Amino acid sequence: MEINSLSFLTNELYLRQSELFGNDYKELENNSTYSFNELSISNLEEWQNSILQKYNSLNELQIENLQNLLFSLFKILETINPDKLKINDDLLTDENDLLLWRESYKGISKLFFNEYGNIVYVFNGNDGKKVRGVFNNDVDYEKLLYKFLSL
Amino acid sequence: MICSLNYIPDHLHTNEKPIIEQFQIGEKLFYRCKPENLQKPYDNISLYDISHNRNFNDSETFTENDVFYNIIEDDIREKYDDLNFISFYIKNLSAGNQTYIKHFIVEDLTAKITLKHSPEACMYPHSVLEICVGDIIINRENYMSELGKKSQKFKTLRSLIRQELTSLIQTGFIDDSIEIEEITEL
Repeated sequence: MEINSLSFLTNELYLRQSELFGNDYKELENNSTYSFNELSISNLEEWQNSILQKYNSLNELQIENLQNLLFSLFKILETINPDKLKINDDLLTDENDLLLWRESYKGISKLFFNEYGNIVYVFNGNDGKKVRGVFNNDVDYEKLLYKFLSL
Repeated sequence: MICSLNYIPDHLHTNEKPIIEQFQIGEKLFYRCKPENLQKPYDNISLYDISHNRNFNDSETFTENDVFYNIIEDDIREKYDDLNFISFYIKNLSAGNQTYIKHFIVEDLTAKITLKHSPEACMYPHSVLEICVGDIIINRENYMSELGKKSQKFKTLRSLIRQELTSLIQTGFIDDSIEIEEITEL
């Protein structure tokens, strides 16, 4: 099992939570309620599966970059309320780029995963501000996500 | 240029009226488009045939409804009732500029967007956001060979142009002083 697979993360989280929360966690499970991270992991896994099913033209580079990003997203979900992410906003562009985007009161942030293995960060502000960055798969995905989420 | 379509209002007939190269601050532009072009995040915008109407800062004579007239002869449809429009206005043009011009450079490729008044016989306010790659004006016919090429540098060029155009739609204004801020480190 790859270390950045969502299945691995799910198991890892389960174990971690068991160690940390012990009986509390079992009680939560019995009551059929969801902890913050459980819900997040479920969303991420569903989201990734949905993307891969919908956009089956994505190549290996695009999928790898997406998985890396989701791995980092999983980590930072511990500190950010997932309700603020609008993580279901994805589409495939006419250029066959996977596009994840979100909107805030400041503008629209986008991450394009193109077939050349680049991740292109784009922000268009409602005030006209325009920001752009082109990164390879050696980018710090966590920092990229914080950039994506910060505007 | 003589308009032969009798359903076109008089104020839209070009006749002997001149091309007015200068655009004015505050002037509104109306862009007729498909509903999907107005869906966020606006990335479905075409990179050719970006036609719209200007209003010459005369909101009473030249309204947004003018863009729905069909000026194609031999087409029985008089109006495009199934399309939408967006409007944006010219907020700022840099000193000395008569119109909006934006330049792009990617490796050895150069491109620019230019706002031009381009009257049609039956649509005097007709204007275009003309995209040139080098000296070649991009249109539907040459798009794939001149801008739509499948290579990384052309893709980057298209992406830059698209970011500029989507910003116009999103903000509702043109300000040629705002450059794209490139970030290389996070």
